[in-house]
Amino acid sequence: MKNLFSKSQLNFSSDHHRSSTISLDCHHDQSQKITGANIIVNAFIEEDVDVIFGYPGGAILPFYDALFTQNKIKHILTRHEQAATHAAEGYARSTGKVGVITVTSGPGATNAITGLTDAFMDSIPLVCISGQVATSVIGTDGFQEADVTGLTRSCTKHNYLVKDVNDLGYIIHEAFHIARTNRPGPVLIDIPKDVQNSHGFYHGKIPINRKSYQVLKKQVSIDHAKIDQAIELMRTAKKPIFYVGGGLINSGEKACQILQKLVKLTGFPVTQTLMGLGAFPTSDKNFIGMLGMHGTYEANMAMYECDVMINLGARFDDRVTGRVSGFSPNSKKIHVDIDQCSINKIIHVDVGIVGDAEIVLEAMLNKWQKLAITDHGKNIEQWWKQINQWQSIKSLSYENSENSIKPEYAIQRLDQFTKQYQPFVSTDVGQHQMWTAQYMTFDQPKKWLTSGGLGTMGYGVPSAVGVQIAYPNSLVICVSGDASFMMNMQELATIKQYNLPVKIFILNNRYMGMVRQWQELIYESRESQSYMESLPDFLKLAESFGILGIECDNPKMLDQKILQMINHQGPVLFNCLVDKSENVFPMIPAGSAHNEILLGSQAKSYVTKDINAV
Amino acid sequence: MSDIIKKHVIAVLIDNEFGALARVVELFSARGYNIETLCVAPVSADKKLSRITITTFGTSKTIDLICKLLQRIVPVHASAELTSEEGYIERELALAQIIGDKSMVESAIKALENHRFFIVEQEEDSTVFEIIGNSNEVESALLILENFGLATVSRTGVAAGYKGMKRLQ
Repeated sequence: MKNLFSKSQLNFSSDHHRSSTISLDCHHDQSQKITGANIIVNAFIEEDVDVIFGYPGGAILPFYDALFTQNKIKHILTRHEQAATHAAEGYARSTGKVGVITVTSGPGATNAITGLTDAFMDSIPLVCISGQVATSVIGTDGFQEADVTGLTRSCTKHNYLVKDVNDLGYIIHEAFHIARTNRPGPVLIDIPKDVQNSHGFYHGKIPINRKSYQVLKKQVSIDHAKIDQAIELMRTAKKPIFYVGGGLINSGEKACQILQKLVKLTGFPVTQTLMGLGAFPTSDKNFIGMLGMHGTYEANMAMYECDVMINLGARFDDRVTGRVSGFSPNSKKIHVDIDQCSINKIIHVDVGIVGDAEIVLEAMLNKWQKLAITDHGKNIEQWWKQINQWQSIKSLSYENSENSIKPEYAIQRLDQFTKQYQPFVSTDVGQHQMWTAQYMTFDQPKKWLTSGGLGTMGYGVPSAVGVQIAYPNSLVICVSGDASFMMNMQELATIKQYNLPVKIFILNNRYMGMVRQWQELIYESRESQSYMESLPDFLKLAESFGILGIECDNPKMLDQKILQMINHQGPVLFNCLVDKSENVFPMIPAGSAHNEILLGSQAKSYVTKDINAV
Repeated sequence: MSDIIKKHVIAVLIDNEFGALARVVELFSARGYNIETLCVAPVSADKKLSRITITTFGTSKTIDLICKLLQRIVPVHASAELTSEEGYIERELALAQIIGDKSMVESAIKALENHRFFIVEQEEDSTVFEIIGNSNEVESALLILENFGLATVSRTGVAAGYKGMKRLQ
């Protein structure tokens, strides 16, 4: 079973790569000028870029021509620029490398904006190159012209318009540097067609030294007085909790390993945000579930009742805090973040530590070990009793059915049959996303890909494409919904072209389920525009793209069909017809505090408090 | 208390490159905040560094957030809200043109005796006053000139800095 996926091969043959190469090392000879397009290619190679995601068009053609005559960089042709950005996000999130996108001017760039914003919200490192009309045409409403630096200013960490081909090499290297360091994020470089065509010097990768942008990773000088304060709070805590976010995953696997050690030593409970899932193993006994709007009862109650909260790389997002005024009212709060702006931004904290999680956690671990605290377990014995009591409510339980597939059950079965492969799991946005977060096992970082901050429907399929490109032999599952899937279903063509064995598992309830759930709860079940009147025949759709389609509406057949999906060597589109009316619980309605969490059984008596909360 | 709308003066040291100013300004406009005055010019000998002074009206909560987010902008070296400190100094310059005969100008000069000003240009019935002071002083001078044929006004906006040895860095 282990080698199940090794046979599946990526087929790049249709990608017109040629073996003849341009002189890629010509930048060593500074007397030789090369075109801007070749500078981009050379700079990519220097940055260790092996794959880019994109879509050609008029203003980026010089670059695509330079790409044609080299064989070091693979180009993955998606079928929409938004999908290219999500694929690059999937690639970046799963590998820890910078995801690279190339798109054309105007509509190419505007299509990429959703993905750039998504990456900005979720701190994913991307570099996006957009073609631009020639410098002489900029500002004249030229064909396919858009003010792309203007449009992307608020959704990128930084952006550039390159006006001189001789600046191009440096700018590209600086862009990669900014994208991957500190709090990662997307960087866009807008390159006019004439700059791509004109000849200039490329000096190779030179060290970036930007005074206004200091890299924190190298700063070993963390504030030890603050570490001491934090440890003192943790040592005396009676009701502590670790609240772990995606920052830990961005910091790296080492940070995640140190956290495991610290949890083992302290015995503290751990909750994780949607973005943090996998930073700490979700099957560990100290893990008490995801927190926030659809987190477990015990995680949210523990956040409300705790006396010391240790936030590691999370940003007090509103899905997590609920009503800020009612957020964990009696706790001392420690916040570790690489982004200084995130500290005291939403929630006032008692100890704010700016730094890379790995370095801060290492210092905390050392300090804790030095203190050789032995009888600490007693301190929190009562706390665990309380937590166990909350756990006994079983907030993730649901009523199963013999006649219809409950979506929770479908995810549990999917998890059951796939967790041995430690799969990568991407999702779209909505109910299926929450059920996947609640019921799948995530024991490793970088295996879970979801659009957290922006909540972008259409993220799932292309991000799975990006992951499968990076890990051709691994099991990659995209859990989607019928509505989300249709937002980027053209990517079935990309999946087919590169023969990516992605398994798309659609929880099909014929609704925009999460919209319908809110309408049921807050708008007296007025299902305004949330019903999908017309859905395609997903089996025929799969067939038309040359992909295996599987359909199941019978809980008794589900195991068998899931196995069929896993055992199939190529891509699969699985149409799982689930109970139409199931809702996601528990739920902290928007505008409520953690202790006002609703269980499924209480939903009918819910009265809306704040209709403006989103 | 954080809901009270009051004046805030914010100073930013930033690389002198295109798009940098726009990134700063958009932090305000994206939150529906109007920038009252904006003063920007290079301040280093090599012209690579600019200083921006912004005055705006808003709640402390939002201004605090904007000041935090300013640090995220890649070309920003330093930023601070000067009004949150013990004291700061501010100056503004206005060019005010008066249309009127000599006696009108003489009366205007007399009325402005408690203000700092120069006459920078005089041609036929047009006289241009250069007025310097903090924004209250400049505003009061301009109010006075309303009575003496004030025709056009151009103001630099506030430039500001810390009192004493403290520096923005």
